[in-house]
Amino acid sequence: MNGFEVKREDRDQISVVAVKGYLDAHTAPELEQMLQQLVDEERVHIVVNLAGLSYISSAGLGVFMGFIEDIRKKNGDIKLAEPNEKVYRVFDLLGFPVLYEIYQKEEEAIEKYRN
Amino acid sequence: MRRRGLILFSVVYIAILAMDYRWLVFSTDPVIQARFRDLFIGTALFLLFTLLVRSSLMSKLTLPQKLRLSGLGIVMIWAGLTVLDSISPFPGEFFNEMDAGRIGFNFWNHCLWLVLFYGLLTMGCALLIAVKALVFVQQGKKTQGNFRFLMILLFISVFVGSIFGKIGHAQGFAFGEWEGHLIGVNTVSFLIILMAVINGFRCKWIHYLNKRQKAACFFSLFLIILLLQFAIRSRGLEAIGEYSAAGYVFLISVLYIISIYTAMSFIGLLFLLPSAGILDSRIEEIKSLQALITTLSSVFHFDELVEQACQLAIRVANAHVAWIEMKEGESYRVVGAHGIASGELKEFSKGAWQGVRDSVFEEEAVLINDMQKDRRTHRLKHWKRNPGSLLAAKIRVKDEFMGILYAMRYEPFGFIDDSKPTFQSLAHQLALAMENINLLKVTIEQEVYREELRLAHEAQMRLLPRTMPEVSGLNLKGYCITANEVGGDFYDMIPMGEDRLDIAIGDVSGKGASAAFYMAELKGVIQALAPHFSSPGQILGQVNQFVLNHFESDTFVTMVYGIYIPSRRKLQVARAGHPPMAFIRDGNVEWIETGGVGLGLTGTETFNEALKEKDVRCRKGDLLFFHTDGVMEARNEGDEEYGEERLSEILKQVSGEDAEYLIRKVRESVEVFIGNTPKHDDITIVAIQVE
Repeated sequence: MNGFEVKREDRDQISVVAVKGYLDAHTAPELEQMLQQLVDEERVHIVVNLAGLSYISSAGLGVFMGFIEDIRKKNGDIKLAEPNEKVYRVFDLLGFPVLYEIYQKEEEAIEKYRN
Repeated sequence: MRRRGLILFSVVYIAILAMDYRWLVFSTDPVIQARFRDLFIGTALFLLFTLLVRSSLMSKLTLPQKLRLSGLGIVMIWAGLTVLDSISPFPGEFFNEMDAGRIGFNFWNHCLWLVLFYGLLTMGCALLIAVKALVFVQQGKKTQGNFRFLMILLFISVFVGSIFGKIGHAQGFAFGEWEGHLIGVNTVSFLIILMAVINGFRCKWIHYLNKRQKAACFFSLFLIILLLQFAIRSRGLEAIGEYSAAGYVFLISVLYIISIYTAMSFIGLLFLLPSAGILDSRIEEIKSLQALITTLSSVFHFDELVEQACQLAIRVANAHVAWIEMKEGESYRVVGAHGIASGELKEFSKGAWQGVRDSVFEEEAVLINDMQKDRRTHRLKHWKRNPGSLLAAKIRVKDEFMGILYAMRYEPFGFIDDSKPTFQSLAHQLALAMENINLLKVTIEQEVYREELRLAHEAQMRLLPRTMPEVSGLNLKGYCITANEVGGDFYDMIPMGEDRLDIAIGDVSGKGASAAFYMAELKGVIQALAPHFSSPGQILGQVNQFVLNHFESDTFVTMVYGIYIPSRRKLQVARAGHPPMAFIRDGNVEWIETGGVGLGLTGTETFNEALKEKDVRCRKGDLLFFHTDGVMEARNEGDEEYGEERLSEILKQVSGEDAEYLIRKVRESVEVFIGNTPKHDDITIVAIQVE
């Protein structure tokens, strides 16, 4: 149906993970693997760029939940950036803005880490 | 046609009898009279032959039956001639003697003569038909022409004999009378012999006999050749010749034709007998393979299949023992054996067979003629079984190497080279049958799994309220359909005394069985908590704590929780990350979107901080609508979402109607929208109408 893609780009101590397509129960393991890899490498300053994401299901949302606690314990964070309107609506309904920093632009999120 | 032939035959036959008794006289000269009678006899024979040819006398019989009947016919001719021989005076002279007044008319004597004479001629015709049936087994291009030509020659000879044969003496113008005066007659005789030899080459029927039948036939033919010689030389035949030249020429020609045919079949058999055993085993192989295809494909138990395959391997290859080993990872396991205990084979399974295995792996099938000397099997030479020769074939499905089928004989060079391809095709069939069994097993397992899911689905459906509670002033209706057999959606209506109704609708993240278990757990937790708290926020806070503590960290739950007080027509509602409920009044739809985070996403402090409650004052005719994200996220074929706008539109339309109508409308609308697209999420809707 709709493909899913995860790409990683490291900038200094910050890792930007760009996701594309559909994030649901079938594709969630790909993102899970990517985040796990970053945690294993102790790269815990993560920005997830959601610009290419067209849909996120509850299983997809669960991926962030599975890692956030661990990452925050290591003084890191997952910051979300550039969600489209629909994806933001899902985050919003679920109350994600309370739990995660969500930015309009990827640069803002990166800037936030640097300060 | 046949009836006309019969009538004609009868007329001719009565004419012959009439001539015998001098009721019908063509000439006063007894010689000319006799020649006329012989022409009639020749005609009668011809008619009889054509009648028999056209009848399907032999066609329905099997080959052994045809052979037995023919043999019986020859014995009867010999017996008839012997009886004739013993009658005195020679019946041929009978009529002449009677004419001369030397003897009186003896009725019984005459009857016996008639029966013997015409019986022998009829038997001669029947034997020709039998020869024809044998010659025509597996016809060649010229078979029909050759046989017809022989028959034409035969009857030419009969008619020539009728006209020119000497009367009163045992002589026809056929065989045995080479000093006959007419070159033409001798030429015909020579041609008959030639054509009999040519027809004699057509004895393909001997190939269709099995070894035992061939042997029996061989000795029978020998006896028959002897009998025929006696018959040809018997004085009974001379007696016939004295009476009728036509009868004599016919009978002796038939006897010669049969002699030649019998002799040639005998020679044919002589050459075939030594190879009869091999031919039989070949035929047995083919039969076995045919049986194999039918039996193996109907066996659905692995052990039974293996056992049958071993038995068939022994039959197909004519082996002493056979066994099957299957590859299991890197090792091999004997799964079945026949003629040998599989335990005995295991002693040698460690590496002694590895040479054979490697060889089979590369060549599909291997024939080892001398196991003691062959380097692939020489490690087995101390085996007390005294291994001789071995056949081994690969059991393979597509390109997957599954195992090996073995067959062994205790002496070297025990297998013929040709059995290798047959053995290989047996292994191939076995592989297919094994694959079938595997497929069947998978199908059954899937069926069992599906049935379990169906039971789980039923169990889950029982967790949803089966009947809506009766609450005064409210009309309640709920609907839930799962995308898979089991899902994570749920709703519950809990009446708390006379004046309180709790409404919960929720969705456990993830899909399938685990979500369904969590959902079942949640239902219990909510039912236990509800009586102890009086606000939705408190209850959700408690549930959040529970989810956080007990569910997996990547699992969360969204929920809308409402407490309705009928006496005050007041709904207090809170939302934990769940799609907001709708409040419908006078054609307007208000989404009650209070703040709140999903259950299990964060600790109590943050959760409680984010959670906001809202009071909704209701009046008669208002509709309350709760749903899960499955509604708005339902997709059509174009991968388009149903969305908030479509839902709002429907809800506006149903304003003022009752709860049941609302549910029906939303369902219809969603179903029409998604069409044939498979559901990808559970859909749950609950409607409450204030009365």
